[in-house]
Amino acid sequence: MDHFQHLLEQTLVPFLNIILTPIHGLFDAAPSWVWRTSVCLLLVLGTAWTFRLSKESIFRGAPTQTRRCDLRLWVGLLIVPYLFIYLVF
Amino acid sequence: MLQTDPNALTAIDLGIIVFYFIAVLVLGIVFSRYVKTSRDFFLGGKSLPFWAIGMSVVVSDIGAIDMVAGAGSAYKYGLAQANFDWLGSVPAMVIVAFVFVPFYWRTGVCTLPEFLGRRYGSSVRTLQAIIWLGFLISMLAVMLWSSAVFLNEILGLPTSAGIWLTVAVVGSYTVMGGLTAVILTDVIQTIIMFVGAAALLILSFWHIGGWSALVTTVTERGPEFAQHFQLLLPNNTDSPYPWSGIVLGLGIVLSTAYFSSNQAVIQRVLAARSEWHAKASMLFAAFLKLLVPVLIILPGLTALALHPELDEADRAVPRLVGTLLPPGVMGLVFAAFFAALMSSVDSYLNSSTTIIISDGFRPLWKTLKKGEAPDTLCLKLGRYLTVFLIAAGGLIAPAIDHFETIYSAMQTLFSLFQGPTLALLLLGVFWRRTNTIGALTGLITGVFLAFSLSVVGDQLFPSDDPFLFVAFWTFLYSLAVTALVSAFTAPPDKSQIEGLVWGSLVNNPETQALLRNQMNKENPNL
Repeated sequence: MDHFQHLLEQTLVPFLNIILTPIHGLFDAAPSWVWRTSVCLLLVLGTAWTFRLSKESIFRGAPTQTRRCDLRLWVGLLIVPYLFIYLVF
Repeated sequence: MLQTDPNALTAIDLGIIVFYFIAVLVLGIVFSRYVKTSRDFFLGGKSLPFWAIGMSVVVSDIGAIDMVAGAGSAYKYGLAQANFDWLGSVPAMVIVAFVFVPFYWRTGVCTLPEFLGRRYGSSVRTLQAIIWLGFLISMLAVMLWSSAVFLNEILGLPTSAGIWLTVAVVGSYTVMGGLTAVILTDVIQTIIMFVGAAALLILSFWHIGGWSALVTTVTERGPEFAQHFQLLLPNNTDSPYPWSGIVLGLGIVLSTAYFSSNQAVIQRVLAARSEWHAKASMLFAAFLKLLVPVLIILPGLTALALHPELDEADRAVPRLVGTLLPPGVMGLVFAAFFAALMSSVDSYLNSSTTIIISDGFRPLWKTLKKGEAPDTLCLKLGRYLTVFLIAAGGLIAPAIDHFETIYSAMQTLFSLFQGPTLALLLLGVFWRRTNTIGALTGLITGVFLAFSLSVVGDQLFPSDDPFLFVAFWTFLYSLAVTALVSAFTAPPDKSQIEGLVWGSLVNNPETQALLRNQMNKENPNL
C-alpha cells in the first residue's frame, strides 16, 4: 500500500494538481454570493425544467387531472422553503 | 451511542418501549394476510399510496446512528451538516421523480442491476448485483449490532439478546408481510420518530430561550463558532464540507447516485399504485426531508449551547436525553431511536432478498430451465431467504464489534462506486450510442481512479476527508471515458436498447406497448 501511495504521489498527484489547483483557486476566491447563487440557481433551474415537461407525463396515473395532482405545482411549493433557507443561511 | 443509565428509565418509559415493539409486530402480522404472490411480497402488490412510500423512503434513510452522529456532527461543524438532507436530497429527488421513476416504472425492472443488465449485458448486471448485495448485507449486520448495543445501553439487555430480539421482531413482520408490512410499519415509525425528535427539540429550545438565544449563545463562544449557523462554508474551511464539495460532490453526484440507484428506494417507488403515485412519493419524501435537519441536526446545536463542555461530539444527543427529558417522553424518544433502527434493518433485509431473487435466482432458472421461475417458488424462496439473511446477519453482527475498521473500509469502498455508476446510468438512459465495452471500461477504471484519489485525496482537495470531491471527479472521468470508448467502438444492437433509452421510452407509444407486453410475458407476477 505504501508503494502504491508513493507511486501515486510521484505520478498522479503532480499531474492532477496542474488541473485542480487553478480550479480550487477559483473556488477559494469566489465570494459567498457566488455559492448562494449557484445553489439557488440549481434549485430554480430544476423547478423550471419540471414546468417544461408534458402534461401527459405529469398526470400519467393520477387520480384526477386537477391542480392538486399537478406535480409541477408540488415542485414549485417544495422549492420555496429551500430557496428561503439557502438565501437566509 | 446513548450510554444512559438503565435505571433512569421509569415504568412508563419501559411500558412505551414494550408497547411499541408489540404494536409493530402485530401490525406486520396483520399485513401478512395480503401476501399471496411474489409481486405482493417484493412490490407490495403495486398498491401503495404516495404518502406511505414517501414516509418509508425518508425513515429508511435515517438510522439511529445518524440520529446520534448527525447531531454530533452539527455540534462540531454546525448547520453545514444539514446540507446532507437539504441540498443533498431535494434536487436529486426531483430529478429521480421525473427521470428515473418513469424510466424504472415503464421498463418494468425492479432493481438497478436488472436495468443495467438489460442495457449493457449480464456482466455489468452481475458486477452491480454483487456490489449492492455486499453493501446491503454488511449494513444489515451493522444495524443489528447497533441495535444490540443500543438495547444494552438503555435496557441493560445482553448484546446477544438484543440482536436476537431485533432479529425476531423485524424478521417476523418482514417474512410474513413482505414490502407492504415494511412500508406500513415504516409509516408508524416515521410518526414516532418525528414526534420523539420534536419533543427533544422543543424541550431543548425551551431551556435555551428560543432561536435568537441559541444563535447568540453559540456564536459568543468564540471565533471558531462564527460559521456554525452558515449552510455553505468557504472553500478553505477547516470543516470537511466546503461549498464546492457540497454543491458538486453532494448536490450533483452523490445524492443523485443514491436516490436513483439505491435498491431500498427503487423498490419502494415501484410498489406505488400508479406512476403518478410513484413520482408523488419522491416529492412527498422531499417535503419531509425539510424537517429532518430541524429534528436531527438542530438538537446538536442546542446541545452546544447547553453543554459546551463535551469532549466527544457524539455525546450531544445522549446528554440532552439524559438531562432534559421527563418520564414518558424519554420512552417516546427511545421508541423513536428504535423506529429509526428497525426501519433501516427491514429495508436492508427486504432489498437484499429482492436482489438475490431478481438478479440471481430468476436469471439462473431461465438459463438452466429455459423458462420463467414459478411464482409460488419465488415467493417461498423469498421468505426462506429473508429468514436466512436475518439469521446470518444476527450471527455475523457480534463480529462488527471486533472489526470496526472493516465496516469503515466497506463504507469507503462502496462510496467509490457511486460516481462511476451514476455516469453509466445517465449515459445508458440518455445516449443510444453507449455500449457494453464503454460501460465496463468507465466503471472499472472509474472505480480504480476513485480508489487512487481517496488514497492521495488530502494532497489534491481542500479537505482531509475528500469523499465529496472524489465522487464528483470520478463521475466526470467515467462519463468522459464511457462516452469516448463507446464512440470509437461498435454501437449496440438496436433491438438490445429499444425502449431502454429516454427518447423511445417516453415519446414512442409503440415502444411503450411493446415493453408492457414484454414485461407481462417475462414477469407475469412482478
